Amino acid sequence: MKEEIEAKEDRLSRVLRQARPAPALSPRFQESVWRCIERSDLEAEHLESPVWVERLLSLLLRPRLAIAGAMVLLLIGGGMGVLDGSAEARQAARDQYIASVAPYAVR
Amino acid sequence: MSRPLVILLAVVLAAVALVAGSFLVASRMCSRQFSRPTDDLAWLQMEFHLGKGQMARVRELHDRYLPVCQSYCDQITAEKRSLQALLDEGRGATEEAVAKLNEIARIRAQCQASMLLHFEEVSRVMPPEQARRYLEEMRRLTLGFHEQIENSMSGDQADGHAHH
Repeated sequence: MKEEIEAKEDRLSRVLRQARPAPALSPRFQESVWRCIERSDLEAEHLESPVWVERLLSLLLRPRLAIAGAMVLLLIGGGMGVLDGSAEARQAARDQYIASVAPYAVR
Repeated sequence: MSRPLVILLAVVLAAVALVAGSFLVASRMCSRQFSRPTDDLAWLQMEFHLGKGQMARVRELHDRYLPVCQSYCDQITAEKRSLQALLDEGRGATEEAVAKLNEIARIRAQCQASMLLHFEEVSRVMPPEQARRYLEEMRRLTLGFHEQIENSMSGDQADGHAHH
């Protein structure tokens, strides 16, 4: 029974193959396939990041260095903010003093 | 763009955000903490590094000067109102209005003189270098406003009185 079914399938496959014949490969088919593969390799190489980026990242993303870097940045930003804020505060305090000693009518 | 480049960009952006964020927070906190001092004289202490004794003397001078200052301020305001009322009558620059203007100028000059005297008194409490800085700034304040107007009318400006 099983053999009979297999024989039928073989026959059916043969008939189907004859009904849709596969076109012959072009003479330079293999060459063009290799060219495609080379091209995709080149594109992949082009997309790869430079070595220095990877080295830099491996350095920056070390936990200790990353934390230290973040602290330094926080200090720089905070320090600049304190300077800016105190300059603003100084200006406000100056304005307040001037308002108290110099009547607006005279200024 | 490759993955490491994206990560590097993210690291740079995070660093910028960290600096900007800490700058904004510190700046806001600092200015909120000090920008509205309850003491009018806080600036003197802050800017000229005055000691307690010096501040006490400056405060004494300041308290003595305030009623004088207020009195000039009230006089100028009253004269200005009265001048405005005269001008609103629509009779133009009458003799009376001109007299009011002269009166305002006289009170203003007296006020400026009393301000200068007060600033000189305060400066005498300070160390010499601080006193020089303080006086320089206060003189500029006292005379500066009118100088600004006068300069705008002088030959330095294209449409000034020098053309008349």
